Amino acid sequence: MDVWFFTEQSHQPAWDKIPGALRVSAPGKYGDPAMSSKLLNTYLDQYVLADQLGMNIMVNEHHIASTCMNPSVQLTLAILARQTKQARLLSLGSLISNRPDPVRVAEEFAVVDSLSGGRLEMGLVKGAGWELFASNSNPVGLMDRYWEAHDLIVKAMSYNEEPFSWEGKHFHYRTINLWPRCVQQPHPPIWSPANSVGSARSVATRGYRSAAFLIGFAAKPIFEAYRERYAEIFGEEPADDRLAYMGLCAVGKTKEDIDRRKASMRAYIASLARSHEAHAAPPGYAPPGDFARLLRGPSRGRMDGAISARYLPNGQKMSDNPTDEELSQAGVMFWGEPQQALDQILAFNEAVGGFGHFLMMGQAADMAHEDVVDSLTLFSEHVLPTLKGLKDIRGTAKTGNAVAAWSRPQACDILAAGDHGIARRRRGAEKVMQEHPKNYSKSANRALDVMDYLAQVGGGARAADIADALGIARSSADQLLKSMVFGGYLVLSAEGRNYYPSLRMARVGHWMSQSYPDLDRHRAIIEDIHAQTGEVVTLSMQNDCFMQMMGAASSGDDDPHLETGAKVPVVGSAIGSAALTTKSPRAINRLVERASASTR
Amino acid sequence: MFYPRALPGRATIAGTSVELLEVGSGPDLLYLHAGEGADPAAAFLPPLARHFRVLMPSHPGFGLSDLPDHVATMDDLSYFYLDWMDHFDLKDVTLVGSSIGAWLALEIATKDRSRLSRLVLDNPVGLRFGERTERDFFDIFHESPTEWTKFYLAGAPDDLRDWAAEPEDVALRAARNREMFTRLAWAPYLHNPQLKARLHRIDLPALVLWGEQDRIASRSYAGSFAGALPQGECWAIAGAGHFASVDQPAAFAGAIVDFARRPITIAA
Repeated sequence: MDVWFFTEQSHQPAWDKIPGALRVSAPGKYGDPAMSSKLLNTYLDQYVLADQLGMNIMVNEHHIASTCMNPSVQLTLAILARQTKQARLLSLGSLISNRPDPVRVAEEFAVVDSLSGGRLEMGLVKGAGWELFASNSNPVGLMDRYWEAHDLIVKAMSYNEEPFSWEGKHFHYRTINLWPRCVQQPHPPIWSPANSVGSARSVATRGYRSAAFLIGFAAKPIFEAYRERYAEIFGEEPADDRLAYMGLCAVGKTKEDIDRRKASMRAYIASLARSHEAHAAPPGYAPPGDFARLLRGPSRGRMDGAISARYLPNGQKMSDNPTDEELSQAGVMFWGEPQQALDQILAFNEAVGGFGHFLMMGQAADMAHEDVVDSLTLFSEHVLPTLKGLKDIRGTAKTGNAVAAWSRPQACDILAAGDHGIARRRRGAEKVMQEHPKNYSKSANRALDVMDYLAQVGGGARAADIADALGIARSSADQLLKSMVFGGYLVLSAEGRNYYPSLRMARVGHWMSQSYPDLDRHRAIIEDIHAQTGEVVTLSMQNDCFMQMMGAASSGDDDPHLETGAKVPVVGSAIGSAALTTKSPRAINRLVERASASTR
Repeated sequence: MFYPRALPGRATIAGTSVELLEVGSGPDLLYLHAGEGADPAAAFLPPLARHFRVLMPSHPGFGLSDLPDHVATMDDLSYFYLDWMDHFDLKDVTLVGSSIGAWLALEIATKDRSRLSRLVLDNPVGLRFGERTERDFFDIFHESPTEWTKFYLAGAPDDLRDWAAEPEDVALRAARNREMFTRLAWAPYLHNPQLKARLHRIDLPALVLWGEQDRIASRSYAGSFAGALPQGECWAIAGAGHFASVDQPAAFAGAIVDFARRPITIAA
C-alpha cells in the first residue's frame, strides 16, 4: 500500500469569525492575507517533509472556500515538482468539467510532469456541486463536458505527430500542439474519484485509479463494483493498486499529543456540515430521480452528507456525535499511537476488501505545524514500512509501479489518440479473453486488431501508426508485424514502410464475404432504422450460447454494451429471446441445456 | 397549490413529441409555461377557455415532453414553437408567457411575428438592464430547491406542497422541470444578452404583467421591460408574486381578456 500525504490547505483561523457556511458565501474579508501567506508556506513545508519521509503527495483544489486556499492543483504541484525529489505528485484533482479551457489544463499538467521528471499522477475530477457556483458552468451536462474534456486532454498529451484541431460539442480549438510533452508517454497515470457504484464502474471501464473519500464502509460496494467491471473489461482481477481511500490520520506518543491532533481532525469533520444545502447539488448536478426522492423524502431538503451517515462495522449508523472510537471503526479517522492507528487502517483495509493507496489527510483544520511534523515522522517510522510491505488481500500481483500501471488501460485511453473503433474492438476482444483465457493469447488478439485496423484505414499502414492505434509499444508492434509477414498474412511494401494484407488474407476475406452476403446492406439497414426511430439499433449474431454484438447504430457513444464483440446470454436477454423465436422447441431445449451446463 | 401533473394530450412537431393541453374555443392563445412546468389544473385556464382556444404544451425537456439532443437553449426552443405555429397553421395568436415563458415569447417574436397578434408577458425575465455588478434578478439558485416556491408565490412561508401524497411521477416531473430550467437559465442567468437589440422587430401590442409582490424581479425591472418594447405597457397585479397566474388566477386571466379586447391601433 502506498501512502499519500494530503492537506486541504485551509484558512482555518477564519472559521470562528465566519458566520454560517465556510464555502461559497463566506466573505473574503474574514481572511487575513498575512495569515494566508504564512499558512500556504507552512503547508508546502509539510509536503516537502512528506517527500523526505518517503511518502507520496496529494494536492486538491477548490474555489470560493475558506476550507481550501489552493485554486489550482498545477500551481502547488509546480512548486513541489522542484522542491521534492522522490514523491509521486498526485493531483486529485483538476475540475475539468468546470474549466473552460481543457487544453490549458493539459499544458499545465505537462509542465508539472516535465519539471518533476515524470512524477505526476493526473486526477481528473467532476467537482463538488458548490464548485459550479464558482465556475458558473451549467450543472446540467456536467459529465458530458467531463468526458469531452477528458478525451481532449488525453489526445493533446498523447497525439504528437502533428498539430490537430478539435471541434467538439463543448470545446473548440483551431490548433492543439502541446509543448512541452509529458515525460510520461503517452500521458501520466489517470485517477478519478468515485464515491458511487455508477462512477466506480465508469472509472473501471477505462482502468483508471479510483479514489473514495471519507465514506467509510460505503467504499466496500464501490470497490466491489470497480473490481467486477474491471474484470469484465480487462479479463483479469485488478490489483489493489487500482483503488484508493482517503481517511483522516494523525498519530502521537503521548495522550496530550494524540488528543490535540484528534481535536483538530474532529474540527475538520465538524466543518463539513457548514455548507448551504442549496449549494450541495444544484438541479442537474444529480439525476432527477435523486431530486425527486429528496422532494418526497421524510428529511425534506437535507442532502445526506453528514458524517453521522457513516456506518460502523456492525451495520449500525454512527451516532450523531460519534466517539473517536466510532470514527476509527467507521474508517473516517485513524488515530492514536502508531501501532494503534496501523491496526485501525489494516482492519479497515481488510473490511472493505483492500485498497492500494491510503490518501492520508494528515493535516486538517487547525492542526499545528509541529503536530503535523511529529505525527508524520512517527507515522513514517512505525506505520509506513508495514503499509508499504502490505500484500494485496487477494494475492493479486501488483499491477506494477505507478508509471507502468497504465500499460493495460492505455488500450482504452488511446481511443482519444486515434480511432474509437479500434479501442472498442480491442476491449471487445479482451472480453473474449476473459471467457476463454487459456485458448486466446494476447498476440492472437493483437494480430486480429492489426487486420481490423488495416480494414479501417482501407490500405497500408506504417508500423508506428499501427502501434499507436493499438496502444502497444513500437518494439512489440514491430515484432508482431514481422511475424505476420513471416506467416504470409501481411506483405511489406517495396520501399519497406507500409504493411498490407496479403493474398492469403484476401482469400479468407473472399470466403467470408461469400458466407455473409449483403455485408454492406446490414450496415445500411441498421443505420436506416436508427435514423427513422431514433432508437439504438444493434446487429447481433448467435455465437454458441451467447448473442454477440456485431455492430450498432446509436447517437450516443461509448456505451460499453454496444461494443463489437460484447456478449449476452441467449437465454434471458431481450435480443436472445428474439433469436429464440426463430427456433424449434427442440432446438431451444438443447440450447437451454447447453447454456445451463456452461454456467455450472 | 401548483403541481406539474401530466397533460392529457400530445403533439409531434418536427419529430419532437410534447405533452399538450387544449381547452376552450375562440381565437388561438398559446401559453408558454414558467420554469416549474405546466399545471393542467391551473385555475386561470377555465376563465381563459371561455374566450380563447388555449394551447398549453410542456416545452421540450419539461414534463414528459421529448428532449432532442439539439435542444439546449431558449433559442432552440423558440424554433420549436415557430415550427409549432406553422404546423398548426395558427393565425393572429395571442402569445402568453410566464417568467421564462415570457422570455421564450420574445425569442419567438423577434424571429417571426407574422402569426402573432399580441404578446402578454407575465412577470417576464429575459432582458437585463442593470450594471454588470448589479443583479436584475433574485438568485434562486442560492436557495434550497425545496424552498423555491416561497420565492415564487406571494406570502407563501415555504413550499407547502405535499409531494409524498402525490404519485411518484409528479415529483419526478418536478425534478425534470428544474433540470431543464437550469439548463436554460443558469448562465447567463435568466436572460439572453443578444435579445435587447432585437426588440424593435416586435412591433406588436405587448402587455407586461407584474405581480406587486414579485421577489424575482422588481417593479422598476417590469417598467424597463415594457419601455424596451415598441408597444409595451405594464399593468400591476395586486396580491401576486412572481407566479401571478397561480396567486391571482382570476386577475391574471381577466387582464389577458381585457387586453385582447382592446382594438389594435396601428402605429402611424
